[in-house]
Amino acid sequence: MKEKLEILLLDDETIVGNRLGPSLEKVGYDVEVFEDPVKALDRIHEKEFDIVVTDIMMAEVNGIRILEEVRKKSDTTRVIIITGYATVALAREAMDKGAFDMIAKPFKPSELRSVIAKAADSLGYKKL
Amino acid sequence: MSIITITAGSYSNGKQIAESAAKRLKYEYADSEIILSLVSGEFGVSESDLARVLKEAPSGVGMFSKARPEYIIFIETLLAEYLLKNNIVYYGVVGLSLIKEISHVLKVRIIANLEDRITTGMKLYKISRDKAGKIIKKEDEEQAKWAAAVYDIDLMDPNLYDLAINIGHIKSNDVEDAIETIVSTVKHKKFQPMTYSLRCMKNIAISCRVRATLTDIDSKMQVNSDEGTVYIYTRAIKKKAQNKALEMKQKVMKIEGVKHVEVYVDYDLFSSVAHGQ
Repeated sequence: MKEKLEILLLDDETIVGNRLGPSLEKVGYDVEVFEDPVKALDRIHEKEFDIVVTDIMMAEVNGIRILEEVRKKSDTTRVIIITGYATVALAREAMDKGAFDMIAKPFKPSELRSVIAKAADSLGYKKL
Repeated sequence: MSIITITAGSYSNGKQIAESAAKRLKYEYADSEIILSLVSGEFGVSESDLARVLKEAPSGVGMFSKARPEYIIFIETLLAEYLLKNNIVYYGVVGLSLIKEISHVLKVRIIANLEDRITTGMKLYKISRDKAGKIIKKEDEEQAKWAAAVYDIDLMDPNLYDLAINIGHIKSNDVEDAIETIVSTVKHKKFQPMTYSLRCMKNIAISCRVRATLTDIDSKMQVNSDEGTVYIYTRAIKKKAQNKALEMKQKVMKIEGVKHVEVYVDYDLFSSVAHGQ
């Protein structure tokens, strides 16, 4: 097991990455922040992350596609969906396709940290 | 961690299926009787009065009487708070529209053949075929009318449910098959709770509690809440609007989980004119 939990954070809104990235790094995670889903997808193909946090509504590649690509590459990577367009249908689709959890925007960084801690726990990491 | 809601017409084995599914899953079973007893204990309304509100479709007069909307709000409040516990099979129609947007709730409708229902009714109450048929017809009509009047829904609309099981159309041991179908369906990932759906359920419970707390001020207000922020949409005559909003805020801020309250008042034009404003 790696010493630091490796997280890919993808959201096409700059402010989200700017806010959440440092908040996660501060508690000791190794975070790569992406705004461009195509670049994020390339990185996902290159590297197996412990956790992928992704927005849903993005141009070119949406979050469900990101989830599907992560699932193709790894059974263990936990995918956490963050979205401002949460619906019952989306929630069920995400869970059906193997998401670990879904959080509706807006949320506090502490809420994401709490979900990440659960995901880390399920991977066998000690809670930070 | 999921919730199952089951509705059915009378003598359709709905309660039996709900109880058995709960037992099989080691979930808690709840129905309107349990919820009404809680409501009665907290709000001091007799269980028979509450039961009447759930059975009789509101008449033109009843719709505008003060008691009915209050009682429904009380019942919904205790039901929503009860469902926060999760791992529950709930049998009943009340609250159906409350939880329609909750992804970890499996909504089931049990349908049975009329002939089978009549036979069940005859055996249960030792009554004639004709009488059993008439009772079922009356109860079906009342339930449909109630749901249409209170929630503006058609109980037979399949869009309300994730699963509609016609127990007369499966096999000989159809009740057993229905239970098995429900138990296996709820285990699907789609019905597992997540941060989003748990938050939605909590928001609903807080909104209901706010309505129950303010029902003596306005039983027709709209309430939304999100993460402890409560939005109240009410009506008042211009002169009294400020005091009404203040009174509402003071009461709501005392509710557990409420952090902030916003009251939006729509001026009641008719009342304002009547009061000469």
